[in-house]
Amino acid sequence: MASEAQPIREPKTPEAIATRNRILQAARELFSERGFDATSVRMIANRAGVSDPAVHYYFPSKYDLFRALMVQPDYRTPPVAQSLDEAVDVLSAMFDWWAENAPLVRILTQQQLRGDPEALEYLRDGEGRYRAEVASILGSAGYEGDCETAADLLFHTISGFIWDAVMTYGNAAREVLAQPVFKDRIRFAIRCALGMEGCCGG
Amino acid sequence: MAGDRETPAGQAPGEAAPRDDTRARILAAAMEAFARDGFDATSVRSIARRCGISDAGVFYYFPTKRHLLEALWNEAPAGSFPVGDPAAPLTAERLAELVRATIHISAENFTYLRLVARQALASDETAIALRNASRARWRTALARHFQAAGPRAAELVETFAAAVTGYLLRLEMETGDAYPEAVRDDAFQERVIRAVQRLLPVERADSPAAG
Repeated sequence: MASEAQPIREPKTPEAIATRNRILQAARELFSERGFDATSVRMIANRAGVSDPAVHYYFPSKYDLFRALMVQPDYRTPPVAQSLDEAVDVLSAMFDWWAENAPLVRILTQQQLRGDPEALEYLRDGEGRYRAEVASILGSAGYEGDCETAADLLFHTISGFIWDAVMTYGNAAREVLAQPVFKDRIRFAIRCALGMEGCCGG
Repeated sequence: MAGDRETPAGQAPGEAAPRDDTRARILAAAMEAFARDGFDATSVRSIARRCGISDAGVFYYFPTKRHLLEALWNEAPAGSFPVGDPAAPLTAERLAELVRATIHISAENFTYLRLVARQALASDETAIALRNASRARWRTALARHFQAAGPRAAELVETFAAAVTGYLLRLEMETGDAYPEAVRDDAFQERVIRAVQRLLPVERADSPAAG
């Protein structure tokens, strides 16, 4: 991530950690309910039961809050798989994070389509990290094809599923993407990207 | 789109007669502004200025900004997509044709599609319904081409749609207003075609079937 003009402070005590988490949770709820523009720092502070300056102490801007929410967990450190089947499992699990955070993804997509520079930076940065992780997973799984080509296919196909879902279903996208029929579709697409599906020209 | 005829309407003394194409010009300017900057952020004044008329000139045709948006929903594009023969096997060459057709429609109708997508993301129910209807038509058209692929046809349609959506939206995020030119670029089209051909397990006419 780019360096900030103001410092992002890390909480040091258990109380501070709890406060920061309450602020993040309040922000997550309000962004999902009201969208990014209509949510103010005041609203977030109120819901978290803290003052405005307390929010600014950890998050100098509203965008810093959003960015903190969009930090993905490490699925697997290091990102490796023992076999192609396991690679499919790992890649499917990566999709789950996006599905669970669909309301935030919707805001992000809006910002990206508006040409918001910070949102685009997040996209480019995230794409780069995703491609690198995929290449690592496939390399360790003994994938015989070109890892970068596969990563390119996976990035665009999975992104396409997510973007279409948030535009079609809005905040209900989270529930929709959790359904088995959708997970099966993602899995099929991942297997296609890895050349694991047989020829079906008919 | 309006023709060149002038239609006299009730005039106030000293005012020029409103013309058919003024309404069309207002709609075109509004569509572009709403699509690029969003409905809320766009003022009627900016639309009026862009057309070289007064605010009152806009309100004559559209009493409120919302009336403008409602009228725009009627400006839906007509796109022609190749009609599929359900009996014909799906080939890599056919996939290339389908990618090109999709890209062509998205470029020709960029402003309208951008408006619908933007409004859908802003939870505009009409936009969501319109978008879903046009996506459903696209998938139905694709399904005819994929039918011969057998029991996996539905999944192949979804995989194709997701991949093409992913490449096109990613490009739009990168290029913004310049999308129509960027998406028509031959190198970009070839890139998407090659990707889709690798992704979907269909026969290539020019090489043995791969497992």
